[in-house]
Amino acid sequence: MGKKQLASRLLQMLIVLLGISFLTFLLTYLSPGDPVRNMYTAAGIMPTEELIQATRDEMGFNDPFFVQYFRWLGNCLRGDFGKSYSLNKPVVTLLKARLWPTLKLTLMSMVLMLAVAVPLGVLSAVHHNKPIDYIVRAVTFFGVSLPNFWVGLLLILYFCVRLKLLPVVSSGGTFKDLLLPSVTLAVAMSAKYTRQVRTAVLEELSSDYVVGARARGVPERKILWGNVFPNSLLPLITMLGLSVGSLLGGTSVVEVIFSYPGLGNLAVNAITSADYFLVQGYVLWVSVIYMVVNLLVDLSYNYIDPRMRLRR
Amino acid sequence: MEKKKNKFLSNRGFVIFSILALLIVLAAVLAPVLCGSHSPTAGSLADAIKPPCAEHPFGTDKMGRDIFARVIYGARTSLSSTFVLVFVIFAVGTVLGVVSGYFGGWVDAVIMRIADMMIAFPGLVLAIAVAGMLGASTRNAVIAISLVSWPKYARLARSLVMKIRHTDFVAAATVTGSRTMYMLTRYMFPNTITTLVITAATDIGSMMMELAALSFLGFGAQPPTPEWGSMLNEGRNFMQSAPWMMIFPGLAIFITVVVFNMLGDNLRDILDPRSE
Amino acid sequence: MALLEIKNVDISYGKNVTVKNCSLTLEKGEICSIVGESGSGKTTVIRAVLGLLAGGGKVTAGDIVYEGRSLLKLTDAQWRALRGHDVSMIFQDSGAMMNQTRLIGNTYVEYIRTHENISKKEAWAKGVAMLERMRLPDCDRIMRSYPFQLSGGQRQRVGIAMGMTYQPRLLLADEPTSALDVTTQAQIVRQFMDLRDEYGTSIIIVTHDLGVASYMGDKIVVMKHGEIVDQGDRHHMLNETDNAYTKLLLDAVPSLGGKRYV
Repeated sequence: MGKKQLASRLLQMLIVLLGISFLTFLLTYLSPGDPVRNMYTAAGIMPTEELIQATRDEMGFNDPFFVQYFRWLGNCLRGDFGKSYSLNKPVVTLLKARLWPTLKLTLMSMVLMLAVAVPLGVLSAVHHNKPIDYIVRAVTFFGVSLPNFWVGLLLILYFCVRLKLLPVVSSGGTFKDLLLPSVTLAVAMSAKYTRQVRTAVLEELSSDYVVGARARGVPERKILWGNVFPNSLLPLITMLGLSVGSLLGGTSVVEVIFSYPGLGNLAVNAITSADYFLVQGYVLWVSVIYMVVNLLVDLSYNYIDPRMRLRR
Repeated sequence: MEKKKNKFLSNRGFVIFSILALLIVLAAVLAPVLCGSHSPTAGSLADAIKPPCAEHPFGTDKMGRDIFARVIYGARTSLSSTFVLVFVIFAVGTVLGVVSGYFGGWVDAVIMRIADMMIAFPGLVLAIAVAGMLGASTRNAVIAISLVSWPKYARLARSLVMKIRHTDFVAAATVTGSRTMYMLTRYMFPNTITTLVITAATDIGSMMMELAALSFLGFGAQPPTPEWGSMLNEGRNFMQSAPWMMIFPGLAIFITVVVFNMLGDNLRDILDPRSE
Repeated sequence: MALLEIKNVDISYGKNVTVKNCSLTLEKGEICSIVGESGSGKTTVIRAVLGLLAGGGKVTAGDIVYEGRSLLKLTDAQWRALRGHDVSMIFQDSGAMMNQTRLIGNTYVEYIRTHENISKKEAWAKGVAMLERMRLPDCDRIMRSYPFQLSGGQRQRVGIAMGMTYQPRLLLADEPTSALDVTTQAQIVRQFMDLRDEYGTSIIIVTHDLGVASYMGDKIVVMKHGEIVDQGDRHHMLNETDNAYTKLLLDAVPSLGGKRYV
């Protein structure tokens, strides 16, 4: 990707981020519920109407919309995302504390997903239309139809309640805590990704160069692992980038089920308590992460494929 | 027309799963008949948390309500909101996509930038945020998910339109004085219909799961309305004492999604033979 | 014993019989041209010889015998020894038959090391030597290029070089000149003829151009809709044949000053 393209891409990202920030701010501005009232209630105080109004003035909630928006935006750029009412801490602190657990969960799920999806997908593609292919296709079909929150609950039922092997509530620390949540996430994602691996490999297998290599007597295993698989990696990495997005979203549900101390859990609670600054901060952070991941994926793609590098 | 009918009916999978889907819909519609005297919303605490038995095939929940009745009535909520959702996404996405592709220029730029914004964010998260902000209800859940899902259809429609936008026959039609509305309805939309219908059909399953996920988190259907996702949430707290509370609703979601996914796949096989 | 005998072969894709009752004999040092339009089955036949039929295609009747051995009963190991060594194939776009994300040199080395147990460096040198023998300019640069960086003519010549690396007794060429301009086409055709003269290679060339077919082929076979409709030598094709289809193909060859050759 040339410098000019990179610059325009970054500019695009900035515009989109601005748009998202505006949208979230607009949403929270329009939504019912009064953050000031909630703040007092959370502190156990029953405020009078005058107190509420005074506090609103003081905190700038009665200012016109755009003043509030730009004030918030300006603060964000300085690293100040406001303060969370429900948890009485700066938003930045809360987000930072929860970021690593969520990333750990995402990474672990991805590793599990890759460990299952890649071998199965390749196997299925190479033995196209033979029994093993049908089995894999059937399994992935059911896997894709399983709601991940149900899977999580079922896993808890068997492993925690019935068999008492693992803790129900995770503190996000040990491997044991990570296991069930990441398996839950990995199940649906593996099913989907296996299909994608299969499609990508199948498509590569039908390429001309495979016929050419066969005509030259090159053994099948060499064709598969030396040529087909590396070439399939290109679209697969892109798809991986996209699944990071699903993973980031999916963690919300899974974190809630397992009471896992991650960003998703934080967000859901923040929304339920109408903790606006926290929600806004969360939305911005996750957007940035997601966009950066996609940018990295695109950049790596451009680097790996020589056709992109040289055909300038 | 004769040939078309045969194409649909000769695909065994399509026929089987259409019938199954129809059965599910019928079960929802005929809920009162199927459940007889059991009400999905009324129950006495005396009957609370009873395991599955003759009287209550799926057991009862913490309020003493019959779970079987709740699952069947829940089909009404889940199915209707899913169909509305898919239709809205399909309609909005297609219209915006066709308009974007046909008119180009700044209309295209604006629509596509908004679409990029929606895509730049993991879907469920934004849906949670929107639903949470608008207030929890089925209607808002549908709005929230539509908001994040229409870009996929818009982009698809747009690329299909752009493929034929600059072909000769379109130019000919314009030159002979066809009005814009005519161009859109007669040329652009029909070109996109097949692909988009297939996409919508195959999305029914995943949209149902997203709605259930939102309800599970508390941002969708509100109690006492029976809805499979929220029922799972209720069952969460009773896993040890009453696992049936969460097994059956989950099973209902799973089976329904399987049926509709198969239906969508078979529909795609019929309408788009290129798909492997 | 003839080098290659295709005996009453039927080729089917599922229930569809696409090639019916095809018979052809090739002697050592002979060039045979198979002519026909797209869909006539000519490519299918030639691919069947090397066992390279695409998706679900099978020889459902008859036999293909190479040097007395039936090619329909070969094991994978036997195929690997045969393909690219005793029998080679050259395609319409040799560039497309190579991995686009790899250097030509690496593809060549992979090929050479399939048939010989030598080091990568030695294989590379051998590749360069072969390209030079085919009179390609700047061979080292070619080895270090990606397929898409060469012109169509260069790619074909690289393909021929690779195909001739082990001086196969039989060369199968599937429309090797169809994607080239007329001048390059003439060069490639001449190169094929030289191969036969220099190495005694037998060649089967598939083409839709009756002019090329007549020029190159000692024996010419005309196919239509999966069946052989006419065969004979150059003289027969141009002068004696009554076959209406052959005459149609003849008319399609552009003539320059009354002459009908390439």
